[in-house]
Amino acid sequence: MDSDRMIDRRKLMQAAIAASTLPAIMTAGTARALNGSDAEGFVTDLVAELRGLVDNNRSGAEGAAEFLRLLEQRASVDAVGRFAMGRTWREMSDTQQANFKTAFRKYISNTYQNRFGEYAGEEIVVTGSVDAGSKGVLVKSLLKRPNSADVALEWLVSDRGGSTRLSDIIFEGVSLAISLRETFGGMLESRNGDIDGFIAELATSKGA
Amino acid sequence: MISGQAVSRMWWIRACLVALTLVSAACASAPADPDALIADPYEQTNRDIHAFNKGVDQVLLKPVSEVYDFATPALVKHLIANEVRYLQLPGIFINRLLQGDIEAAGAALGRFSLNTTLGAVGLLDPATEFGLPHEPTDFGVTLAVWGADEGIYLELPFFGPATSRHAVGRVVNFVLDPGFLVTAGVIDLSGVLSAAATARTPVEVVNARHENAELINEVLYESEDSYITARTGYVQFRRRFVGGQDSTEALPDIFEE
Repeated sequence: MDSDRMIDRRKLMQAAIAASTLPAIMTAGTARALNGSDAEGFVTDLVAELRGLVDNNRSGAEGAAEFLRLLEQRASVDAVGRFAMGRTWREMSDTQQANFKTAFRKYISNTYQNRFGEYAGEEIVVTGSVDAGSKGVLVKSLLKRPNSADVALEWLVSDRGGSTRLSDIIFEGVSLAISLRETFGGMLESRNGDIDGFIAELATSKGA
Repeated sequence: MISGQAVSRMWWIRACLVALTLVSAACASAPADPDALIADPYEQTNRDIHAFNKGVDQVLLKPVSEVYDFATPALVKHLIANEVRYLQLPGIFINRLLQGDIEAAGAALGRFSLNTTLGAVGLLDPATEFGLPHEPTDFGVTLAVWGADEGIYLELPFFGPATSRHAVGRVVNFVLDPGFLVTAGVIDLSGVLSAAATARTPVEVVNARHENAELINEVLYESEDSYITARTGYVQFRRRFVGGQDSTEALPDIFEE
């Protein structure tokens, strides 16, 4: 009967779908070594290290150098920089890319020095995590400030670059990586796409 | 009882509003830069309005909110902030119903009852202690729930950053708010109430400027390009607000090629 054949065909379809997704499910278990609690532990450690810079009053250029060393170990600095350049990255020569990497670090260092004082008296409490699929794990925390409301601070952690590293920080839904991409895009546009001019400006700007 | 006719009329209004936001977005769906956070085909006009808004802030809002901060005792500021949130509750309740979220509508109603009675008509906020914290929403979110697209980026005079969906939402939200109905004389109450409703908007604006002073000052006066910073911050913040706390969709994929 027609209906029997229909059922057979449906079963066959189901089996085919199950068979095609099975390998994906199995590898998902092994490939995604990073779980929620590992990621939370990673952020807790990172927060403690950052806390150390504030507590020991590591301001100025020396503190910034220490901060950068910490970022090189714990964050995907180059991947974030590449992301922030968007499509322009592929139009850049090797020299421009290398110059950008240096300028980007200078930009981070300037940001650190300009904003250092703002973090005194603040405390970060890790509150949980959410799986963000291929993007990694989103660790949630609250930034507690004296005399004002808590800020939702999230940390996107991924092991896609080989080791567990920070990909992004999100303040109340505002991603640092996306904001950098928008800011850099605006800077490039205002210079009519002059990449070298942009890189020079980046190195001397006061930071984010 | 809601008659069948009333229901179909509601559907019609709903369809029109969704269509309106779609049209406002569609008439300007320029081939957007794939890197861009949001399409901004009217950037030059938006930048002009941004400069105007910045001027308004500089000469009016910023100084007024600083005087407010300086001249008002902390306790009074606290009570005013509570009252501002309390007065938003009827609007929040209506929007939760329109979104079909009965549970959240119930929470808004519970919060309203508690803060009306134990909270001295909204000056205090015992509801938060009882596990019913302030959970804002607006008509822009309702439009999103109904399926309207976000649209393009707009900077509105006085109101500041918006998406075309949020811009439509702002207007409807204003009309939906019982405070507006009192002011407009739709709900005829004693003079005291309508005077309070009229005074509410400026108080709300000053309170909001004061509560976000640090952030607003930073965006407007300390950033490289305040237009871009405001746009980037607003669009991301708004998407999180519309999409909910646990949404991971908007997160960047820094390893993408």
